[in-house]
Amino acid sequence: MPTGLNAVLEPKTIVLVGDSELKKENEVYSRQFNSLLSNLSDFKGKMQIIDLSGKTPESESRLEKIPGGRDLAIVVLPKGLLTKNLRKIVTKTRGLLLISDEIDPKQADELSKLNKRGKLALLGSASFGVANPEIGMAAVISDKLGKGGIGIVCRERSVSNEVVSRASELGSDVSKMVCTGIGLGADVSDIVKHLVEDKKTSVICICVDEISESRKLIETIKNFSTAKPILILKGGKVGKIFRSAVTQARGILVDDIEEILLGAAAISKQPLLRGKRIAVLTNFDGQGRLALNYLEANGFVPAAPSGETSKKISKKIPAAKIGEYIDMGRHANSDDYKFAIEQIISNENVDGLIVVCVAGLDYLEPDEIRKVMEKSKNKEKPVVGVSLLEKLKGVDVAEMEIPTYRDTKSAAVALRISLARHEIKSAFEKASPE
Amino acid sequence: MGEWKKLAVKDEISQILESVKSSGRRELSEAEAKKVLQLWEIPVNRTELAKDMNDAIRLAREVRYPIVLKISSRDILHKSDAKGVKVGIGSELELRQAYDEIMKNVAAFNPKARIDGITVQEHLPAGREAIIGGLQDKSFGPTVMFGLGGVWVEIIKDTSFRLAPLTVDEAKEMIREIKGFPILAGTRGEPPADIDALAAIIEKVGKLISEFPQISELDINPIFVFNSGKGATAVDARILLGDGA
Repeated sequence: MPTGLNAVLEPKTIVLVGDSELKKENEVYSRQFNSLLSNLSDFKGKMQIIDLSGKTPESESRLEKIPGGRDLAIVVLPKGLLTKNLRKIVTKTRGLLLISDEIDPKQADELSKLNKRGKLALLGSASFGVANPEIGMAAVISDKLGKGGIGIVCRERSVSNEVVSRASELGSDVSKMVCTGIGLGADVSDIVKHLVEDKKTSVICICVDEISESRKLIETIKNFSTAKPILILKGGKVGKIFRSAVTQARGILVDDIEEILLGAAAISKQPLLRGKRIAVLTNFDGQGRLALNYLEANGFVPAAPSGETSKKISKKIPAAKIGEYIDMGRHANSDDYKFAIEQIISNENVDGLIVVCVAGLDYLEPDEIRKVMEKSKNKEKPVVGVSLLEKLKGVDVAEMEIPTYRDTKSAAVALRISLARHEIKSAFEKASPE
Repeated sequence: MGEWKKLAVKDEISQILESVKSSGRRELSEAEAKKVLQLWEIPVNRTELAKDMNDAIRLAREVRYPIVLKISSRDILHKSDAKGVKVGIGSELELRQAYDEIMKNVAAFNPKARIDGITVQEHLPAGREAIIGGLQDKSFGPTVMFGLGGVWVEIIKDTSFRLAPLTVDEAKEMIREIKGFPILAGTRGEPPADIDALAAIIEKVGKLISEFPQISELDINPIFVFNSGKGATAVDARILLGDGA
């Protein structure tokens, strides 16, 4: 039986409470309810639906039908209906996820007290929801997310919405996504603590627009950033003090949603970057040149493989041009990539490698791309793939567990964050050698 | 500092802060601020308040020439703007001249300024100048700031911050973080500055601002940082109490 926050984030039994047929200004609640109904269809535990209008198939219309001892009630109702029914719901559940935005202040106070006393794990109100792909739980009002090691916590709904959309678009692999809403119950720090202990989560992303308890959050990051990498995106004015506080807490401050997701992918799927020398392997020279721009902008230097490595690559791939980047020419196939990747990554002058695979011009078939990306797996140094094809023609890169980026700029940003984490880890190890 | 001594020191500092508050002031005089720092084991140059010329002459003999004279007035925030500072005074004759000049300058600058006296201060050999600040940030609470001092500091704004209290290692990190760090590390054959001493002082400022939330702002500007092994000393200090202190 899940207890505490687990009742909300890892429930075995869910009851979804809403009304599918509200009209006028309350219609939005029905849309949210229907969206949740659809998204929760893959939930692996037991689910019960209370549709107060009674229109949803296999649903009940009366709250009295909820058996006691449910792990989680997800409630999406307008204020009037919520006020009337909340007490009935709360008595039958260990956890409460309030998607509803408005709530009676007295009830809010009661719920908050219950949460503090440990009698009810509460998330919300005004939460965008919770996603736990491992158990097929997509209690969010938008896209579903892929399964993986990135734990995400957001405070505000619209930010959560954007994070989920971008994560879905970028193929980010998520352990849990949690929106605290206005924080009547669990706040961002509480969720961070949960994610630190969560075995599925290898990297934690925090997206906050404003922070009511800044010091608490920074202290939480400080306490746990040595155990797991913590990336933080703050909306509004960041300011020198916040920036310094994140540095002091050994967190990694990022500038936007894409950057936090790219960085998290790099950290969760690859060895950390340990130096600034990055090699670029491509099959089109324009991409090689562009990559150099982005490497420089992110503080890297192009890595030149030593003479011996260059000779070996030239011998195997006579068309290859080896300079500040390695252009194998447009006819390079997956065998060529395989050979060049192995040579470059084992070179001592190289700390990391960006593999550009221009496939949009159909020089490389999808199966070849898959082989190239698979060769990008490396245990010692990060190799990030960039496949320049709008859609990978059926190649599910996410399944391959290789961070693949849509352009060299994104790859360079991800590597910068990977290096930042390495530096934090090294500084900590240096400070505590035992 | 042992626990008993610490308690006694805290008590003494609280009394200084309380007496400032009960006299209707929010800002400590320089001598009071330095007394607080000294009690907290932060090195300061010796600073004594003289009520008149004769007092200044007597104190100068105790402090020993060369000395520095500075106006002490709650109505004058920036003493240099009022031409209320004279440095490198080497004799009683120079002291008499400097004393009169300061009084004239201050009267011209602000005829209504309430004058507490003139401080007689130990004149230190020049070190590399830095500033250390402390504040109660409204979001983060006690916070410390570090930067290089000198004339360009306000323009360059080359500063670093940390939440307090902080460790000596964190203080060293914040020293290394500023762009001007090479000036302290030693450039063009100049020996490195005493970064260990500087970091220890930053750590103490962090504890001070954390343990006395009634201090809303604290500035040590400048602090002279001497060559490695020679320490660092606060040469000017300002402490402001919060509204609710």
